[in-house]
Amino acid sequence: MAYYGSVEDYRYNDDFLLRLRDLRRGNLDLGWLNAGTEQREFRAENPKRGLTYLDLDEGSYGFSELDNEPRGPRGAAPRGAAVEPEAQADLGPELNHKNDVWAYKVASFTEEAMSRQWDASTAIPWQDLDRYERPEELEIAFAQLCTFFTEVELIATDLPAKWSWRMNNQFQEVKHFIATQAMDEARHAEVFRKRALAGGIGLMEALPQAEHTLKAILDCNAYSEASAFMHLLAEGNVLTMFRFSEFISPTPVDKRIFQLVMQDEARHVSYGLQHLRWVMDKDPGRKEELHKTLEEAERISIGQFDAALLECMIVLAGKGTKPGQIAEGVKLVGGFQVRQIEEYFQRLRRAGFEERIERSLFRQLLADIGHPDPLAAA
Amino acid sequence: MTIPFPSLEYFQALQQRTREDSDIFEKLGVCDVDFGAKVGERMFSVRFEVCECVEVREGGDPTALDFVLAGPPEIWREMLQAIAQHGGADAAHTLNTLTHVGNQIQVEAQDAEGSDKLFRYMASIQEFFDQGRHLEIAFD
Repeated sequence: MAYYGSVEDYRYNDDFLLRLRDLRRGNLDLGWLNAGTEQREFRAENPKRGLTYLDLDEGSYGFSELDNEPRGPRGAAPRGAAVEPEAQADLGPELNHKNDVWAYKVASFTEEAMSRQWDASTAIPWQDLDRYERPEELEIAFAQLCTFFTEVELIATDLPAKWSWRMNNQFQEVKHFIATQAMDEARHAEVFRKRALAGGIGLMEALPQAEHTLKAILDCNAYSEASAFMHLLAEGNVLTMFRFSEFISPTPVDKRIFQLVMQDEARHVSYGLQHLRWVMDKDPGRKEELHKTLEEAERISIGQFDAALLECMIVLAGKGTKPGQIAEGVKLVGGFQVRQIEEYFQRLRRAGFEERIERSLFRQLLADIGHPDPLAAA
Repeated sequence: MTIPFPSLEYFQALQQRTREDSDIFEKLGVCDVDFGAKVGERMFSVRFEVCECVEVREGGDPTALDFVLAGPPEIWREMLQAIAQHGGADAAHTLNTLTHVGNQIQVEAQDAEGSDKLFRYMASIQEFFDQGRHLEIAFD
């Protein structure tokens, strides 16, 4: 067991034992009644929505007026509780500035995440899978796609978990949001694993190249860097992949899977967009750091080419492996890759980081495939 | 009763369905969105709040909406007929499929925040249109 601080054996502490005996006799101290915290009655603004974090955004319990650097608490004291910072356990949070983690609308995203949870065991009409004809070559390609997504989502589960304990507990709404994200990603890994196995093919090849990309996200030095890389760029890419995968899905059962996972993914992307927007507004001095992060992220993303992934998508998009089907698949997958980049640029614009587009490595990629320059188009 | 499409009555009937089938929408979760459905030149605005469709009207300012789904009448008709035939959109006619490749229905939005709401609430918005399975529709 890890050693923490000075551990006194209270079984032999006379003061402590005396106090315990007093308590058992009913002699209460009641000092905690003088906490001096704010007493307010909070009510749901809309009973249909229930009592939300937004309803609690007042006074010492609120988050809108929270300072960028809340002084003092480094332990688990909830915001608004009476606290003696010097008596707290120092949990060593590294993210103690609101600007490090906060996003516009984060409390709404958290409420939405809680409300829109779903159960991979029951929300998918698994029993209908056999109602639809599924040619073996498409089923194999789909199993490869599910293997890739399972791998991606397992790492995506780890990222919010890595940062959660590093955040100061004053930022409860953000911690809650990334906890829902971890749950979402775990459910995605679950649903893709179940789909691959339910189809009768099982899992196919794991893709190390994708793993290296995802490791780069995990290795980011700062949370805002990790968020820009993961939420905005990588999850943005995956969101477009989910949309494309819904489009090429062979059965309505598979379409249902992608409709549900895309909702979660879009929420994570929206949080990332709003966090980047917050940083651009409140801490613009970090732009150069984020340029560097996204430059590296873009380079890694370009380099994540994996034949198995692209090929299984081509087979699914073309609905087979005959030459004409492959040609159709290549055309559709090419269009999807352009859309990934276009949507990334649209989100950068909305986040107030349009200048990133000019420096983006993806512009060269678009030029190489003969696509119009997005800046000229804008 | 036969309901004409496109018409305000059609969207009012879908709104009513969200109340009659409220369990489905509540299970899908909160859905706070203002979107437009543009059928040819006719625009209809739809507003969801919490889990319910609270307003539908003809017209509306597209720039004040999160996004607009815009498509020619024949594509909308094809989608609605598929919903009626299969009890919900078939694989070729889900909203995502129609809006993703080929842009049979365009997603028009002022910015990425607006268009991303279609993806955040995809299952609810799909279910809204899938409720057309309960309606008898006459096309113009």
